Amino acid sequence: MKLKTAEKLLSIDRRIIFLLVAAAIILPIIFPLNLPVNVTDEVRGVYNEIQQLPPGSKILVAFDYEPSSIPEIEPMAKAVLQQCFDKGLKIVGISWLELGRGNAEKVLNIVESEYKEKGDPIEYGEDYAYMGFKPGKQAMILNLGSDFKGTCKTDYRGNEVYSMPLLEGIETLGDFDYLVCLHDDSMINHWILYGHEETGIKIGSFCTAVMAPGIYANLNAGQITGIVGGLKGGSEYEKLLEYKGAATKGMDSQTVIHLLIVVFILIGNIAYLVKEHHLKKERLR
Amino acid sequence: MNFLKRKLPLIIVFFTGVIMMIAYYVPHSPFGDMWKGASSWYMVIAGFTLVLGVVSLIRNHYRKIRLGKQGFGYSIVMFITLIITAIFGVLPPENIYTLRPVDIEEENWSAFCSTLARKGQGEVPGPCRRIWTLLPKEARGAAQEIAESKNATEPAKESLIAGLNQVLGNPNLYRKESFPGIYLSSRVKELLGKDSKTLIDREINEMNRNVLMGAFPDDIAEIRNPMRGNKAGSVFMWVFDYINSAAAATVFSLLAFYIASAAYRAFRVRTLDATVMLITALIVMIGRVPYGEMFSNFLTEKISSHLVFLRLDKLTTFFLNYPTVAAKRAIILGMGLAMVSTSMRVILGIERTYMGSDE
Amino acid sequence: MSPYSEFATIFGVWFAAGLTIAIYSFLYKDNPFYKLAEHIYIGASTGYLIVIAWRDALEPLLFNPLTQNPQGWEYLVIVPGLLGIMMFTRFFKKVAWMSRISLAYIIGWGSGVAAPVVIQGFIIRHTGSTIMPIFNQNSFDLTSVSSIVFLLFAVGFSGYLIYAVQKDQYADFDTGRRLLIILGTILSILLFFVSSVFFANVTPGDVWNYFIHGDTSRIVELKASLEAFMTTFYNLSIIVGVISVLFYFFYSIEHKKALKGVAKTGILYLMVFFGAAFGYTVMGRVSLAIGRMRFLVNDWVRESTLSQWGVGIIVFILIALFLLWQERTRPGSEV
Repeated sequence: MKLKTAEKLLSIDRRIIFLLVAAAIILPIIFPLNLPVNVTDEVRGVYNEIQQLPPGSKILVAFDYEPSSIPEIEPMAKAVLQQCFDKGLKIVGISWLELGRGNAEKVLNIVESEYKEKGDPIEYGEDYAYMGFKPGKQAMILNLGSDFKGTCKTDYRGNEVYSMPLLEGIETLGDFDYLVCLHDDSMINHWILYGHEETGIKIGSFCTAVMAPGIYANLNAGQITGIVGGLKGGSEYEKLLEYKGAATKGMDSQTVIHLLIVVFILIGNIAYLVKEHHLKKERLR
Repeated sequence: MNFLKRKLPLIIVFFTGVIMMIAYYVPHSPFGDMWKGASSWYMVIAGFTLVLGVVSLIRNHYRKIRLGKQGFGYSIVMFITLIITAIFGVLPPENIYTLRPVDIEEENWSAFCSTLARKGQGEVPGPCRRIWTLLPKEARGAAQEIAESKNATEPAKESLIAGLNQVLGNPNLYRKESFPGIYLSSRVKELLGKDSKTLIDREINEMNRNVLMGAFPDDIAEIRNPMRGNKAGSVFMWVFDYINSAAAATVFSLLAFYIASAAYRAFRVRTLDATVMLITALIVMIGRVPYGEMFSNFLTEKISSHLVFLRLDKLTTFFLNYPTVAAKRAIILGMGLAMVSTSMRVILGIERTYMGSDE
Repeated sequence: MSPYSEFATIFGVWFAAGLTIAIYSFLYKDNPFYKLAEHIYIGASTGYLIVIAWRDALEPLLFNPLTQNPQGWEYLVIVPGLLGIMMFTRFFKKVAWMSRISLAYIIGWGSGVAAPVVIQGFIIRHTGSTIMPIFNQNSFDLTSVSSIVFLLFAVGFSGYLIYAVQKDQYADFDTGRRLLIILGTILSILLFFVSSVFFANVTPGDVWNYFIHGDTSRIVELKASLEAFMTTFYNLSIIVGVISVLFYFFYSIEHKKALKGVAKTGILYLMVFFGAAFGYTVMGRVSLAIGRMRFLVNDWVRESTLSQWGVGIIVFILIALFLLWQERTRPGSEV
C-alpha cells in the first residue's frame, strides 16, 4: 500500500463511517438473511432451571431496565414470560428502578394481549401480578427478604396484596422458586448480595450485552444459574422456545455490523502500520 | 450550632452504621425490628431523593427563561413537556367504569334495548330483570322508545346511559340467582366478598361494570383506558412509550456509530497489551454472531475435527469463562475490600467528604 | 394490541420517528432539531420521575400511612418524612447544613448494611470460588514419585528464575541459559500437572495403547482424566489471573524485577477482559441502533399512509420555522 493511500484511509470523514454503519444495519432489515443461531451453555442454564419447575411455581421477575435498553431486553423479557405462562408458572413482577415500572407495564400489556388473541387469556391476580416500583433499592430487597407482603403492601393498581391469591404462601423473598432479573446495570449485584446471599433464592440474569462479561464471575461463583446477555442471548432463548422474535431478526444486522467493524479495525491498523513503516524509512534516510 | 452542623451528623452515621452491622449478625429482637424499621425509613427518604435532581434542573431552566438567555425557547418546551407529563400522571385517574353512549355500538342499541325491555318486564329472573327493577323510570322509558322505534336518538341514549350509571353505582346490584353462570375475575370476586359499606364509589362502579360486561359480553364495550393517572393507555404512559423510550434508546444508540468511528481511527496495535486486547475483541465480535460460528465450523470440519478448540465460538466461551472471570473477580475482590474499608472509615468518622464544606 | 386509540398510536409513531431522526441528526452536527428533541426528552423524563416519586414512593409510604388513621408506632413515619424534606434545604445556603442530617442517616445506613454483606457476598464467596476448585480436586495424586520429582523441579526452576531476576543476574545470562531456565520452569510445571492430575487414574501405557494400538477399553477413564486436567489448568489460570490482577492494583510495593512480571501478567488478563468487554459493548450499542432502525423501517415507513406523510411534512416545516426564530440571538442576552 502506498503512503498516500494509507493517509487517505486514515483521514476519512467519520460521517462516511456513520453512513456505512447505518447501511449495514438497515439493509439486513429490508433483506433478511435468516442466519441460524447456536445456543450457549449460559443461556441453557437459565432455560433449564425454569423448565424444570413444576406448574404453579412462583417466579419473581425484576423489571430493572431503563427505556434505553428496551431493544435488547424486551425481546428476552417477552420470551421468558411466554415460557413461564406456557408452563403454568405464576409471575410476580417488581421494579426497584423507577424507569423499570413503565417498561414492565408495557411488556406485560403486550404479552397479555398476545395471549388474549391466541384465545388463552392470562388473568391479572391469578396468573400474574405486578407490584410496581418500590423505592429504596438495597433496603427494598432486604425488606422483601423478611416480609414480602409488608414491603409491597399494594400492587401497581392499588390492590392490597394480602388478599391476592397469587401471593398465597409467599412470606419472604426466599419463598419464590426463582428470580428472573431483567437488568441493564449493576442491579444484579444488589439482588445477589441482598437477595441470593440472604435468602438463597436462585437468580437468572437477563442483561444487556455491555453488562454480560462482568457477570461471568458471579456465574462461576454459583451466585446465578445462567446469563442471557444482549440481543444474541435473546435470540438463543427464542431458539430454545422455537420461535423467531425481534432478537432473532436483529441478529442479521448484528452479524453484518460486527463484520463491518472488524473490517474497519483491520483496515485502520493496516493503514497505520503502512504509514509507520514509511515514516520509519524516512527517518532512517 | 456547631454540634448540629458537625457533630450530630457524625453521631447519626456512627450509631446507624453500628446498629445495622450488629443487626446483620443478630436478627433477633430488638435488632431484627430495628433492621426492618431502619430499612423502611430508608425507603421513604429514597422517595425524596428521586426529586432532588428534578428541583435542580427546574431551577436552572427557570433561570434561563427569566434572564432570556439564548435558547430559552428550548427550556420553555422542556417545561411544557414536564408539566403535561406530571399533571396527567399525578392526577387521579377518571372513573373509567361508568358507561358512555359510545360504549354500546350504534348497530347494537336497538337489539340491546329490545332484550332489556322484553326480559326486564318478564317474570323469569335474570340480568335483564334485575337491571330493569333498579333502572329509574325515565331510563326505562328511553329503553322502550329505542326498542319500539328501532332508532336510538341522542336524548334517549343519554337518558338510558344515565340510568345504567345509576345502576352501576348500586352496591347491591349483583345477586347470584340473577346473574347465573357469568364469568367473574378474581378482582371482582374480591370486591363482591367485601362489605359493601367499606367500598368506595369507584370500586362499586368497577365491580358492577364487570358484572354488566359479563352479562352482556357482545353489547357492552371493554373498559376503556384512563387518560389521567399512570396506567396503560393514559397520556402519561403515552409520553413514556413514545417519547421517553424512543429518545432514550436513540441517544444511547448514537454510541454504536461513535464506537465504529473510534474503532477505525483509534484502535491500534501499538503495544503487546493493545494487540492482546484487539485480538480478543476481534474473536469475541466474530465468535458471538452466527456468521462467525458458521465460518469457524466450516474451517474445523474441512481441515480437522481435532482443531475444534480453535473454533471462534469455543475461544469466545473460553475467554469469557476464564481470563475474564479472573480479571473481573480480582476487580470484585478489590472493590469489596475498598467498600468495606470505606464503610468503616465513614462509620468511624474518618471519612467526612459527604458532609461537604462548612461554608 | 395497543392500549391507545388509533389516532394516538399513529401520532405516537410519528412523534417517536421525528424524535429519533432529530437525535440522529447530531451525527452530522449539532443542530436545533437535536436540541429540541433533547429538551423534549428531558422534560418527559423529569415529569416521569415526579409522577413515580409521588405515586409509587411518597403517596403509599408516607402520605397514606399518615392520613389513613395511623395507630401508635405508625406515626413514626413522619421522622423519615422530615428527613426527606430536610434534603431540599441544600438549595438554600443559610439552612443547607440541615441536609447533612438526612445524608448522615442514608450514609450510615448504607455503610452499616454494606460492610457485612459485601464481606459475605463478594470477598468470602469469590475468594472461596477461586481457591476451592483446586482443593476439591478428587483426581489430584501427590503420592506418585513422578509428581514429587516434577514438583521439586518446578519449585527449583521457578525459584532460581525469581532469584536471578531479583538479583539482576538474569540480564547477564546468555540466550541458551535463559531458554533453559524458562523452558525448564514451564515444562516442569506442566509435567507436574500431567503426572499428578492426568496420570492420577490412568497410566502412560493406557495412553500408548490408545494412540498406537487403538485400544479403547480405557477410553472413559482417559476422557475423564483429560477433562480433569483441563479443568485444573483452567482453575489454576483463574488463580494466577486473580492474584496477578490484584497485585497490579497494589501500589504499596514497587513493581520491579520479578514483581514486574507478575504485574505484566495482570495487565494481560485485564487486556483480555477489556477486549471481551469491548466486543460486547459493540454488540450492546449496535443492538440499540438495530432496535431504532427496525422501528423506523417497520413501524414508521412501512405502516404510514400518503396522507400521514403530507401532514408530517407540514408539521416539519412549522417546527423548522420555530427553530429558526429560536436560534436568532436576542440583543443584550448572554451567550
